[in-house]
Amino acid sequence: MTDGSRRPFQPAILLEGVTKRFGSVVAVDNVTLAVEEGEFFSLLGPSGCGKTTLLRMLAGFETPDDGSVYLRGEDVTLVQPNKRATNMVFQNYELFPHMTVFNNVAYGLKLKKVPRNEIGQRVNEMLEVVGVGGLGTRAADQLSGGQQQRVALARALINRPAVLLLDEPLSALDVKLRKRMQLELKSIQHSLGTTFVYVTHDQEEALLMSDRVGIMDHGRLLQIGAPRSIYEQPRNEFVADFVGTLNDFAITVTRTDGDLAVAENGDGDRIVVMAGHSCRAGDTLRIAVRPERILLTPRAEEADSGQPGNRLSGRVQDVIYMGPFTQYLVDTGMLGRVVSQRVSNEEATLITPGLEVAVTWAVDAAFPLSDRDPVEAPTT
Amino acid sequence: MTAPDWRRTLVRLRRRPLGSAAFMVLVFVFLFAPLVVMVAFSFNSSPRLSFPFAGISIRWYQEIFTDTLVLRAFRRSVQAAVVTAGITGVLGLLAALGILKVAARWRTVFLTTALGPLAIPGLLYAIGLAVFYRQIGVGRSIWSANLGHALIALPFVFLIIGASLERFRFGLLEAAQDLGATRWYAFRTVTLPLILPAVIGAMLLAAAISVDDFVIAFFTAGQDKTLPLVMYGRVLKGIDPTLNAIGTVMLILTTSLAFMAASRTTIGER
Amino acid sequence: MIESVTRRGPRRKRSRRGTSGEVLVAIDRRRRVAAWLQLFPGSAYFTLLFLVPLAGLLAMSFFRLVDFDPVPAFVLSNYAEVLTTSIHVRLGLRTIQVAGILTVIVLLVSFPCAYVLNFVFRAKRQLLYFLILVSLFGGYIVRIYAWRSILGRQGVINQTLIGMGIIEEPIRYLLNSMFAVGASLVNFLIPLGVLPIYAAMQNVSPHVIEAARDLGASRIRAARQIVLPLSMRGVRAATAFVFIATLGEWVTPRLLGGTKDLLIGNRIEFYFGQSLEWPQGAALAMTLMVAMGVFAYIIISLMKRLTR
Repeated sequence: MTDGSRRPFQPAILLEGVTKRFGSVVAVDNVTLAVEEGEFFSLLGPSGCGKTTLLRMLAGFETPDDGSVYLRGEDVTLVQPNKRATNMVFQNYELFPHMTVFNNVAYGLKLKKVPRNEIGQRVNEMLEVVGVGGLGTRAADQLSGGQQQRVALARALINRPAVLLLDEPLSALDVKLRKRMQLELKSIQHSLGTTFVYVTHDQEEALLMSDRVGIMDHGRLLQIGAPRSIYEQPRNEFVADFVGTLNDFAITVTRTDGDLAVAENGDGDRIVVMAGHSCRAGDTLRIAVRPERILLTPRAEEADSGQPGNRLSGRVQDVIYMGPFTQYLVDTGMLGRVVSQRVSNEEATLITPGLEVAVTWAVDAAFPLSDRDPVEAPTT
Repeated sequence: MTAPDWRRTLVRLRRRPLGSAAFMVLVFVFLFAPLVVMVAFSFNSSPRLSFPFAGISIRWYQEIFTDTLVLRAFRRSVQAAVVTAGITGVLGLLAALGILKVAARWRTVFLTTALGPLAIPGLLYAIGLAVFYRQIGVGRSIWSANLGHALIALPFVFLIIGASLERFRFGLLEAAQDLGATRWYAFRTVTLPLILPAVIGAMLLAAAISVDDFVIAFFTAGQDKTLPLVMYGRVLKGIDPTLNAIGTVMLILTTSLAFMAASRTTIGER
Repeated sequence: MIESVTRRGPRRKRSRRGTSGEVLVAIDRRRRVAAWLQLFPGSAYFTLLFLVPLAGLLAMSFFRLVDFDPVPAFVLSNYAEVLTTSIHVRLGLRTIQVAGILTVIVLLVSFPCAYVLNFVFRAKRQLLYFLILVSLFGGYIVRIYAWRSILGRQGVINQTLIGMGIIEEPIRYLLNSMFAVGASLVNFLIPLGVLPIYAAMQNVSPHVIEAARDLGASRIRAARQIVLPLSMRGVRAATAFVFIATLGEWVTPRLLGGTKDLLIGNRIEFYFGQSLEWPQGAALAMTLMVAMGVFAYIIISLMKRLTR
């Protein structure tokens, strides 16, 4: 079903003002989004945020109540799933249990009336690509979780879809296997150049694999950006909080110095923020700092640099060993509890509960927070 | 300090489910005694029903397999089984597929009504059917009985296929559709192969119900006597040693149907 | 064909595209029509061959018999005749008594049987369950005949005992007695009792019993206080099956019972099979059906109170 409105510029996927309601629940709320050819795009959000519904609208399993879906410039809003050039890797794979691996993967090609010998060749190639070569004659219900995942991937990819849709494909795997599959998926995507739209609730996974990430909550797309910008420059509190751990402070400005705002409490505690010229003394600012950007120095070893940076005094409350990292909960007089994190090494063991420490971070490590509001998709 | 050995043995013995085992053995002996006796005496060379056996022979089988009356009845029973399985298979599958798509309150209505034949005695249904046939002028024949057999077997078939559809993962159909399949193609290549064991199992069960039925055939089959009707007639006349052989043949027929049905459906998976 | 189940969302409403909205509504309607088309053959068959015959039986119970031919009419005399015949009252009461005793016996065997199957011999439960299923399909008439050949004057027990010289005359009361009828019916009904109870017990986790035992309950107490209430649905279904089957029974008393051991079903068979007074038979059948309903109600509410 084409309405003929091909556009001169064609992203792989274009969503325009897409809305989907289930009863009174707005599952997807006026989402506009463009995904480029060859891009690895992740939709990240908590369960129930509408990311899967959005994916299902791309696949054709749900029809938007409002708005349009374009695939390579063609309006596919009302096109049935079997007529769309998208393929999906389902959350629980949905391999046909009564068929062999080969027949599962060949299913789409048979429907396209691809010649038999070509089917055989392409299926075996694809099984090699996803790393289950030689398993073709195995029954689909006799595979391990990781193998099922690979076969599901092969079954979708073999149809050379314009866009591959992946609905939390790794969520059923154990941690170790999941980590390996993340890297493999990324490299398969890279070598085939297929556009991937990847739905996940795992922020680490999204940051690790994607070219760009879209953060969703309550059906709205809150921010779209490269992993680094999502993590380091979150536009609002939800994004900042959902992606990574966060120290979130409200401070009252005591004086300004150019575009720096300073808050001091008279005990030698000082916070400096890049706030812009509009900031006045007495304003309240909300800022956030990632735990790994916060440094702790035992008070005894502190050399008073006299620099006008951030400095709080505090006492270590608790030390949480997390393997590669160690987290410290520090009670500061000015800001209450602050979380700091560092690599677990020799030095990390020197900071023990009860120790008096100086808490510092670079001025540019802090970013201002606004309340949650959606952002328009940047027109790329 | 460890407990003395004799106490350990005692506790271990008490933990063994000896009572349960004895109970089950008694139940099964009681359940199967008549069948075992019948099968055993079908091979007794003497017509007398007493132990010890006079000798082993298959003369009663030879007798019934040359008895045209029995052979005709056998053929009718097989026909009844096939027809019943066919009717119930088609109607049951269609209804089980259809009921998935109607609103919940209708589903309840259908499911409850479908249990009707289980809730009234077979005798009452059989005479109701006989009255109905008479009122609309349908004569008594094996076909009249077949229709009744299909009716009493239909709820079972409907429920068994329905149960297998309930466990069917509908996500598989989305996967098929996503790969380009039309609804009909997805049904043929995914749904049907996956529920086929249950469909066949349900049909075999229907066949077993049909072969086993006495009451409906008694009131509606007229002169088209099935195996149970032939047996009934001969039992009324008195002890007849061929009955053991006829009974054994029927037993093999119904239990093998039930066995195949059970090994294909949820009944067997329990 | 079926996947619309998972996809049934709210009525689709599309503000921006009127025409395509109509397309979607049409697809929705087509699917619903397809569902009813699939349900139609089975429903029609069910109505024509189940509901209509039962309605016909009800109608027949008001017909008048003219020259041994039922003539459409609306008379209550069939009911009057049926209800005032003393043999019906006697047979009716006896049938209810027998059904009650059989139900108790069958439940007392079936419940432990299902329990042992599901909890004690869990590893072998498929095989045991299957054996019970086989005995259910062991043939109705076949089994009645088999009991005759065991219990008859020239049956296995008597012949063997005589052959061994233990008795000289065959024991008469084995066959053509209430004992024979009861033994055969219990034999036939046990699988019908075990199946629903066992099915209901599937939902009771063995861990629940372990928990009860851990809290100090004995095995019996755990079975009675934990498993019984949780599988009550099955027990009720078993009760209903056994009761219904006994009320409609006539072949077993005919072939295994004496002349004094007939049940109400034999009278119905008599009207339809022998005397051909169909309206009277229909009236008796309808009376039985109503009585069955009343009894089912009483028993089920009694059981509900028992387990509360």
